[in-house]
Parts: sequence; C-alpha cells; structure tokens
Amino acid sequence: MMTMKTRTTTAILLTLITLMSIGTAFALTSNSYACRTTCYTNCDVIFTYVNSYDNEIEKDVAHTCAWITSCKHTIKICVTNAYPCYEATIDYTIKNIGNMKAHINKITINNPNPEALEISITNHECTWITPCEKINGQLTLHLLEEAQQCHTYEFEITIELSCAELQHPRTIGFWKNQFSALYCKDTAQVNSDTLEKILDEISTESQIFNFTGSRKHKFQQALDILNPGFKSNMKDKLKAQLLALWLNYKIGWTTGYTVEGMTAYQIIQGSEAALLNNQTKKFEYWKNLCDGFNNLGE
Amino acid sequence: MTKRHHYRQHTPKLTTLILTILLALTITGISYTYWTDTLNIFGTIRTGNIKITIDNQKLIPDIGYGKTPNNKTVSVSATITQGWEIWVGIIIKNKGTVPVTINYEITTNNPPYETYFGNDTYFYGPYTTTPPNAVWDGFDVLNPPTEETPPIDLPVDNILVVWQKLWLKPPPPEAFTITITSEYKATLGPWHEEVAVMYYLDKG
Repeated sequence: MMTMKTRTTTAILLTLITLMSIGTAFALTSNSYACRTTCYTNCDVIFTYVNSYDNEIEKDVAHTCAWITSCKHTIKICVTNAYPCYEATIDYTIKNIGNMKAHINKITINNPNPEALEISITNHECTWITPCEKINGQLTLHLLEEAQQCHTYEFEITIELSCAELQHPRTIGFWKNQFSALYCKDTAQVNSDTLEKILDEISTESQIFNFTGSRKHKFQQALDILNPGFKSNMKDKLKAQLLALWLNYKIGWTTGYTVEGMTAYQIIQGSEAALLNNQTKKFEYWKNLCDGFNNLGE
Repeated sequence: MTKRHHYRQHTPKLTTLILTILLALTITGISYTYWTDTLNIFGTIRTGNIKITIDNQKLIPDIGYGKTPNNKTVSVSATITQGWEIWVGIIIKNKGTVPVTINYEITTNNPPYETYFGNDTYFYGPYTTTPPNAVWDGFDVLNPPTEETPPIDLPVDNILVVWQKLWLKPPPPEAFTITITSEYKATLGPWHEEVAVMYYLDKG
C-alpha cells in the first residue's frame, strides 16, 4: 500500500516531468517562445519595418507584397504574376527589443529552385545588435530565365541569433586587479592571454601607449599607468583612465554606451589628441569623460 | 534488514537525485529558449503565363478555312492559277497574364518555289476593344490604312489585327504544291507562344 509520502513524491515527479516536457517541446519547436512572451526582457529581436518594390518602370505586370506577421518574428513575401528578369527588392529593419545584446550567428537560405530563382540578402552574420539598436537589411529576389510559366516557387530564410549579457565598462580598479592577478596567483576574470592580446592591439592602434617586452613586462607597464599614485598630475590621471577605456573598448564592453553623446572610441581619440598636442587645459575634461565611461557599469 | 526496509531507506536519496536532475533539465530547457531567437522570411513567388489565340479571321475572297479547336492555327487550302491572290485577316488576342511582343516569320516547305509568291503583311493595334471599322469590318484591300511595324507590344487582354496579302507572281511555274506558314510569335524574355496561318497551295 502506498504511503502518503510516496504519493506526494510521485505527484511532484509527474508534475516536474510534465513541465519539463512542455519546456523542452517549446524549446525545440519554437525557440523564441520565451522571448515573445516576455518582450521587454531577455533575448528578443524582431522585425520593425518592411517595404517592397520592383524593377518595373513602365508597365506594372508583377506585384510584390511583404508584411510582418503579428508575432514580429516573421516576414512574409508574396510575388504574383512574375516572369523572367523580374526583380523584387525588400527592405527590412531588425530591432533588438530585449535587454541583452544579440549576435546574428547564421543566415540560412533555403531555395529549392536556384536555377529559376536567385536570392540574395544582406550578410548580417557575425553582427552584434545592442538593445534598442536597429539594423537595416535588403533582400533581392530575381527570377531567372529558367523560371517556368504558371509555377510556384517558395523559399525560406532563417536568421539565427543568440544573446549574451550586455557587458558594461569596468573601472580602473577592475583592470588593476586583472593585471595584478598575474602576481597574486589570484583568479582573474579576464585571462592573461586575452589581456596580453589586448595590450598588443592597443600598442598598435594607440599613439600614446606602447607595451613591449615579455608578458610580465607588459603587465607591469599597464599596472604602472593604471596606478598613477596619490600625487600624480592630471596628465597621468588622464592616461590611467584612458588606458582603462582602451581596455574596455578593445574587449568589447563599450558597445552601445555613450557619454555626453560620444562613443568610447570618440573619447579615446579626443583624449589622445589632447595628450599628443599637450593641451593641458583639456586634460581634466577628457579625464572626466574617460572616468565617466569606465564607471558606467557602477 | 529486509529488502523492503533497504528500499525505504534509500528512497529519499533517490528521489532527491531524480528531482535535482529533472530540475536541472527544466532550467536548461527554459534557459535555451531565453538565450536564442530566430527570425524567418518566407516567400512565395507565382509566375504568370503567355497565351495568345486567333480570336477572329476573315478571308477575301472567302474561300473557306479550317481552324484548330485551341484557336492557334487557321488553315487555308486552295488550288491556284495565274493571277491568284488572297487576303487573310486575323485578330490575335493576348489572353495570358503578362504583356508580350509580337513578331512574325514566313516559312515554306518548298524553298525553290518561294520566289513565285509575294506577300504584304499589315499590323494594326493594339486595341483594348473592338478594332476600328477601317481595319476590320470595313477593311479596304485596295487602300489599306497605315500599318504598324513589328515588333509590336501587346498588353494583356489587348488585340492585334493582322492582314496578309499573298499572291502568285507571273509567270507561274509548272505544277507544284507548297505549304506557306505565317507564324506570329509572342515573346516575353525566354517565354514564347505562337499562332499561325497555314496556306496549303496546289498549282494544277
């Protein structure tokens, strides 16, 4: 005879199995379900605009229409009375309405009739879309000479995205910890290989910083700049904040952020110009901008 | 310790393990949905078609004709003698879904005798409705109106009137037979369709 405890356990197990099955089923069949129901959180990228036109100038023979479906994740295109050499163009806009940055991993064009229909689409692969950012694309359909009369051609394009937590810029303190970790045997959040690679890139692109020697030497040089000391002058303070901003920029944690309408790279350019031209009166201004940017995540 | 006892002792641990695994799987499934998204573009393209037919025909003089059921070919048969001539008028209609361009070509099955025949072909149109009296019902073979020069664009549902005069030049040769084909070709890019008037002529 089953005890009360066994019955309760069985009931919980059954409930969990059911929930898991439902969750898995949604994940497999509609991997954007969660995004659709929680439009202002998480990973949610939608179509916000679509417009179609064609290459007909004098005669209006074929007709192309395109619309975004109610779920906003699909564009449907319908071309009627098409003929060889007919070309339709569809402009669209994609918007990230989630709060994570989205990466377009892959675009798949499923065209079973390439001999009759040529399809080309803007290559968005490897593109990041930050929250609230819009990107525009264009799809072109071209009916070739092999197209048959009274025929229906279908195609499908899939744009696969994955989302990642939106990284924010880090402070000077954070970066000091990363370089210090080499000595303290501590666990750094950014590994040493990455740090060295970033320093090398900064050396190439910057007109102010140049890190040379072994990894240890480079890290020590970075630490010296990031640690200007208590009695340091404004120039050294600016260089410290500038290096932290360079590090944030090169690791990709400044994407989507601005301070006083300026991107990280614009502030970097401004700061370097001030240092190169020895515009001492502007050092504090640029230092504050760099500082402000590096503290955006705080 | 009995087997039953042993089982009861391990039940809580087993249950916890199963619950943990299930919970982890559930969270994994939900996380997957939260961290990915997909956009789709679906397209359907339907193509049009070319279709032209001979909607009406007239012969001057009216010696009778044959016509295929699909209105693609008009056939004229005649035994010809010196001074023979005929006017054949046809109305070509664009019954397809796309505009076409009309051109024509005359061929024979007996090239050595081609030179004994003369032809003039007159194109009128395109018209959206019934053709004007001067080019159809009241067509004057002695004074034909000014014609259009092919290739001629024929929009959907429009008609084109074609009159063709064919005659035997003097002096006629000895007995022969010849089939002369006047083919009217509608094209749009690589798509095409034809209608024709065929003359089966026999010189006795």
